Amino acid sequence: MAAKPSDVRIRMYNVGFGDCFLLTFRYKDKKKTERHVLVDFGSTAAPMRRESQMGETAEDIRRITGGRLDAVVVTHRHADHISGFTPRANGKGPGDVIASIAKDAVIVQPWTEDPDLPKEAVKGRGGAPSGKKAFSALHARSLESMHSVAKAIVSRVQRHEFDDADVEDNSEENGEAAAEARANRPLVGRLGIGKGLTGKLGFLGETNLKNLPAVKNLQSMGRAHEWLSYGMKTALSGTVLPGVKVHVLGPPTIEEYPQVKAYAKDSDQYWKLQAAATKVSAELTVEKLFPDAPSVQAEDLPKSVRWFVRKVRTAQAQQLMELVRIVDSTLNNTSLILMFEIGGKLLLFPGDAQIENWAYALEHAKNKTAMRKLLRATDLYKVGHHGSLNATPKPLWEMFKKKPKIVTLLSTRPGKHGSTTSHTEVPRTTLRDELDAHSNFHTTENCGKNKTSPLFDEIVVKFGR
Amino acid sequence: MPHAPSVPPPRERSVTIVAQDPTIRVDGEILLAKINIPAETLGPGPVGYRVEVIDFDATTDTLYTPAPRVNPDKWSKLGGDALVSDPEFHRHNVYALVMKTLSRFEFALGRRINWGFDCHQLKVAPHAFSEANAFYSDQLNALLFGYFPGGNGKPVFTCLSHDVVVHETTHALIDGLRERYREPSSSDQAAFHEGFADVVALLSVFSLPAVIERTIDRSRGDAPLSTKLLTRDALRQSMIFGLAEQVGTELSDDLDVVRGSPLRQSLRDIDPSPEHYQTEEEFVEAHRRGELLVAAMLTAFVDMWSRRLVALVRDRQRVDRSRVIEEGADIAECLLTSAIRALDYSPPVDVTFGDYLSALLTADREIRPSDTRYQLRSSVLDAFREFGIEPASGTEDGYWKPAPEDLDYSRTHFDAMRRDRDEVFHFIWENRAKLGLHPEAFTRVETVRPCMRVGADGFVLNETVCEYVQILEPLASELKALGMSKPKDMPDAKKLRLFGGGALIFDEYGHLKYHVYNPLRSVERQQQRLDFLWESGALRGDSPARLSISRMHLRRATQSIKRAEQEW
Repeated sequence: MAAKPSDVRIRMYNVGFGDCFLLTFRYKDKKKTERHVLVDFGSTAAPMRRESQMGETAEDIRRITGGRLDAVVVTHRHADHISGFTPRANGKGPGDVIASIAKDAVIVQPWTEDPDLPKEAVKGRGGAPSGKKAFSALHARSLESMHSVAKAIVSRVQRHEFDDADVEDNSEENGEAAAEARANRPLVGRLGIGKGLTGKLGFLGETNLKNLPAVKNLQSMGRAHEWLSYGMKTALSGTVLPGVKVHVLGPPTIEEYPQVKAYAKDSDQYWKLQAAATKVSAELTVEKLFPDAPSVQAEDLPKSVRWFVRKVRTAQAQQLMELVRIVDSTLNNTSLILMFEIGGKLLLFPGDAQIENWAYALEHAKNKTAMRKLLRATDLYKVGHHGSLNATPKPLWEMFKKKPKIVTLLSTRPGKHGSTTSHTEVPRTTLRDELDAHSNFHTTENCGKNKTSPLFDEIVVKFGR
Repeated sequence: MPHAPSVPPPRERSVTIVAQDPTIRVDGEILLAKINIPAETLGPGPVGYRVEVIDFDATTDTLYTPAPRVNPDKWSKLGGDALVSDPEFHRHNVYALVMKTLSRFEFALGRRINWGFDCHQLKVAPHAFSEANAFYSDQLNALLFGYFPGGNGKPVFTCLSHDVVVHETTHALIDGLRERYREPSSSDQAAFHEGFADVVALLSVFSLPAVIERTIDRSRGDAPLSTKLLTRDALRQSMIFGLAEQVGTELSDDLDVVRGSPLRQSLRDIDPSPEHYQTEEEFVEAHRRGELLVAAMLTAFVDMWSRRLVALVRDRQRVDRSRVIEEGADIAECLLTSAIRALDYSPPVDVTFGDYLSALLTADREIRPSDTRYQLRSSVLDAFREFGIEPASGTEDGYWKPAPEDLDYSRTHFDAMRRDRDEVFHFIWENRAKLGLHPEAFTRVETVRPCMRVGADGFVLNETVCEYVQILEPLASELKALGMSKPKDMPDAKKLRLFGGGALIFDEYGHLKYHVYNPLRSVERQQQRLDFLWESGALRGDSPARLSISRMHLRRATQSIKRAEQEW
């Protein structure tokens, strides 16, 4: 086998709001060896004006790899990165296809996915966490609590009754029939928000659910598993991919990140309590706090308090929205950041890592100078988090010295995440314009246009001797 | 028959509250306390002339209906566990703490205080939703308190936490006194709301002898205390651990996720170092920066307390425990009153911690010229300097400089100036050059408030305090003409809003004592503010958002830090 690959073909699949990249490293040996690495396979919304292409995508991956994946990288657990790994009952779903071709693969995930991570942090003197990976255990527990919060929010949204705040309550009319309808309504009722916010709440909540079937499928597939953190060695380097060096630039463990470690205990406590609180709000029939205290239900409110009641309901929904946004950001920041280095070329795949995850590599790591030098020379950048405003830190973008030749790959679908009103739309217009103007820009939004394949976009990066 | 002289109705009444929160117990009983609040004829709710408690729970869509009549002596005859399981008590507990905080502010400032919205009554929802959060909302004209299952499965009610209720009420009061403090400005201004609310909450709790008593070593019963326990460091340790001593379960920490552990952070986790405030990026984030204000004030409190106790000891080696408690509570009360009075002497826009420091020193000197008993001013100045905060006055002693002597009073009528915004504006107009006003800006007198403050020694100080604001709305392309430079990448057509403004403090004779202001003309300050807001992303939208208390509390609870300067 040749010492290093001659090129890599990167197939960016058009999965809509999600990521799926197939990296095929090609070696110029007699056998024309190819090594295939799948980076993420998930989506939470189909491409514009198309049905879901996950099944087609899996079959294409099977075909092009000849039925063999060498590695599967799952950058983090968000649904738009792992939903494709969900198996089906009939064994013929996209997740089943990937499992069947990944039998000899190394499965690479961030350290937060390690099933052997302690569930409870041992407490030392003064009640502080103690022992190896104690703080990381706290963080992992926080993540589980966050999933519970997301699950409760989704459950609440699914039971939501739309409440147009401008419509006067007309329950004084309609008499007996209305009274009976009111009596039959479940206790957990109106959220006090319209369809727009409900949609966003549901979308973001579902993105942050823990997809257990996908997680279990990943745990059971492949021949070996790695759970990586900043600076760790990986079998991708040299073993799976001869001639390729893979740098792990994130996420850091909590133990090595003092700024986060200081708050790990408080954060774990908060999310645990918040999970319990939102669980209460998601129950279909939640008991009143004071069952014996005199009360009236919402349908029988005196006129004097109706304005206030509507406002409190809306405030509650806004709180849930803010919570789920924080959960979303935190989970994004568990993303693996991998840099593939071959023959002087550097390919950066950061998952959905946001500014806070990047901050460790750029500002706090002991070898940050060396990492910054590496990043400056990036030849290909997979745009973080589908082009959101905070996953391509400006200092990072300004660092890339190979503009406009640098290749940028954006896998996204507009209209699902964030809003233009608050300038948080995904993809962010200012970032997209910058990528378009100052890089060799490829986006899945263009798949299927000008006679290109609707299924994927593809580029080839050649490596020097 | 001669008429019997009529007895005027009482102006105050004594009510029972949870002293700290339900986790703090004495001999197994929840620690309760009595506080005095303004007396009034309450409606069911309770509803009074300033507060309306509406007990709506959005999670269960339930409105708890109040009892039509409540015996005011009822609560004092019940134990803590009976009280905390009664929602009627919750409503009265939260009402009492809001009214107590309001009355503290009104005493300190010597006048009635309006809420920051156009309504007489602040609404309070003591069980608003199942969530580990509590916050003030100007849009709802309300305080909303969440509840959540605690570590032991029992519900934790934020409305029963003394410091959480006072903290949220303080946000509402700051909004009434200094509405512009929620405008986008420096990191100090964003931090001030949270830091000041923590200061008021903590000092309010410590002003209760029952709470102070819990912090002091009880191992020797009522025996006099050794001076070794009364040093600055020993008192700090007592305050941190004394309140949590009872609790070995997670329940003691549950409310910390809502209140953010300001006590622990200010006295233990943040060492006195100027770098935190002056250079460290970690402390730029609003909720972290606010902790520095708390740390400085509580350091001053502990210093004052320790110094007072050492002064009492003299030749003896021990001090009576009850005297230690009494002094601690008195000092907390004194410092709290001064801290509140400082608001009137702070600029109404773009406040910094240095502004607040000068304001506190000056306001305190005006009402308490003699400071030999507690040495409050030197303690505060030293403590703030330990944390790198210098007085904005630029003077060594930290006091604001007096107003110019040569102002023109000839065409204004002071009697009218005590109540009429137009007359105050007349005065400002006649003296616009000497007061340093910008000639092209929109200028508005926002409030005129006569006040009568009473010092602890009976000294009465009559003042009229007024605030005015100046607003200029240039386009980014017009900054150069103002002597400023446009931040990098800011579009020329970007609409901006620059603020200036001042507090005018007139004496009882109508002469201006102090003009505490941040001039709109200050190029350096405006440039710093603009650069900070642009880099932090606060000016990204069409209309920069005002500070949201609920969002700030969530970020504090989750320790999420925004690096908006790196965003697109």
